[in-house]
Amino acid sequence: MKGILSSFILLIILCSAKIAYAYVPLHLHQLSIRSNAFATKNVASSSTGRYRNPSSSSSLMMSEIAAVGPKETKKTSKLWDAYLKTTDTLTTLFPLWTVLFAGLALTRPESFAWFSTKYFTASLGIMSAMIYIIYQIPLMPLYKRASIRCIDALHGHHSDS
Amino acid sequence: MLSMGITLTPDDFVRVSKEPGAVIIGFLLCYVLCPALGFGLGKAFNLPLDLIAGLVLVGSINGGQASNLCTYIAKGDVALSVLMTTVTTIAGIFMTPLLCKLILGAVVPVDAVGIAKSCLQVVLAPIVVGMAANKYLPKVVEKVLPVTPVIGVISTCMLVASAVAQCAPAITSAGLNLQLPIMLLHLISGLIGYWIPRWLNFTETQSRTMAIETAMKSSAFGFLLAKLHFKQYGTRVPSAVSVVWMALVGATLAVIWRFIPVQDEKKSS
Repeated sequence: MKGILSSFILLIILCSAKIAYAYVPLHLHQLSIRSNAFATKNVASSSTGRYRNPSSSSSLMMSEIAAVGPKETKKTSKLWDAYLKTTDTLTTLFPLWTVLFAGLALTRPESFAWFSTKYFTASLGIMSAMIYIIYQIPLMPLYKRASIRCIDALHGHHSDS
Repeated sequence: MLSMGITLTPDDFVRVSKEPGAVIIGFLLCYVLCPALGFGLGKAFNLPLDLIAGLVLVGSINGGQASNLCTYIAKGDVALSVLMTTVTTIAGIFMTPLLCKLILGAVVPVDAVGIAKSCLQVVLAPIVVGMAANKYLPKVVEKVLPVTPVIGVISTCMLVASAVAQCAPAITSAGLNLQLPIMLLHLISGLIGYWIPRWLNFTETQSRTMAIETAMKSSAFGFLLAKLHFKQYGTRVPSAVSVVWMALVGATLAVIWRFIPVQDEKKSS
């Protein structure tokens, strides 16, 4: 058991160092992106031409949005940015927490006995709802637009071809 | 699950929904490749029947919620990732019970209706609530938003710890013979999930997204399903091991890809 545990920990230390390294410089560039998806809608639609370009990846688009909206940065305080940066780093290092808590659970399973199936179910529900809250995806308009485009695509009417 | 960094606009979703091919291939990888791979690996490692059933269950569940974060790290298409997770989640209501019944029905008793009900309650209802909250309670969402990463990290930790703790003796005694097939399930499905789309002329960005989506499963949800709807205790053990491996494999693929630049790609359709 100790062998498995230590190999887990070794692997994750290797991973986390890389992730942390990969992430820090990126955050510095993207500090300004903390805005409602709909607030950037105008920016996004004004650069629709770029969006249609199949060679541009989503991360490229994100940095383009960042470049257009630097004014938003000034409003947010430094403390707030620090908070966001910290929570983002914590989130990015999720494999590390996963392994640490798995190791803890293996060695002291009784300390998590209080986390009943009820809590487990609730946590799963929260995780499931989360991405739709974070990306601010509304229900109907998106569905309507997406389904229309889907039908278009199935019939071969690519608007950009 | 980042509070900053990732910004998606409705146009992003319109863009990805214009190419349903990627979603269809992602769906097949999720619900055909993974269950088959789980079954094959279980047999190859000579695991007992209840553990094989657990492996197939891990293969038969929807894409994981953390896949969009890993896709972002891997410079993939986050909107495509979210769309694929949504599609596999909604399809999971009938695909997961159907696959379990088809592959495992003869081996272990399967409560297909119970699985479908759990999918509706635990996974689908929150999606609807999340989307509806955005539409009807935007001010509440605005206030909750900065706290979501913290809630996400705590939830993930507790889900992992709880699942592992409930199977701790079984995990310890099974040793590497259990760890290895589960690690391979995520790793091989991730690699195949990359090479099949590449071979089908999808772009590098799309292929990375599909690979991560295929490698990462909602293993914690699989654990809940096994606990509630499978009588044998052993079926829940692979899910408990998988919560760790799917995070590790997904994150490793993502970090490796982060350092490999996306070549100027031209889609040949």
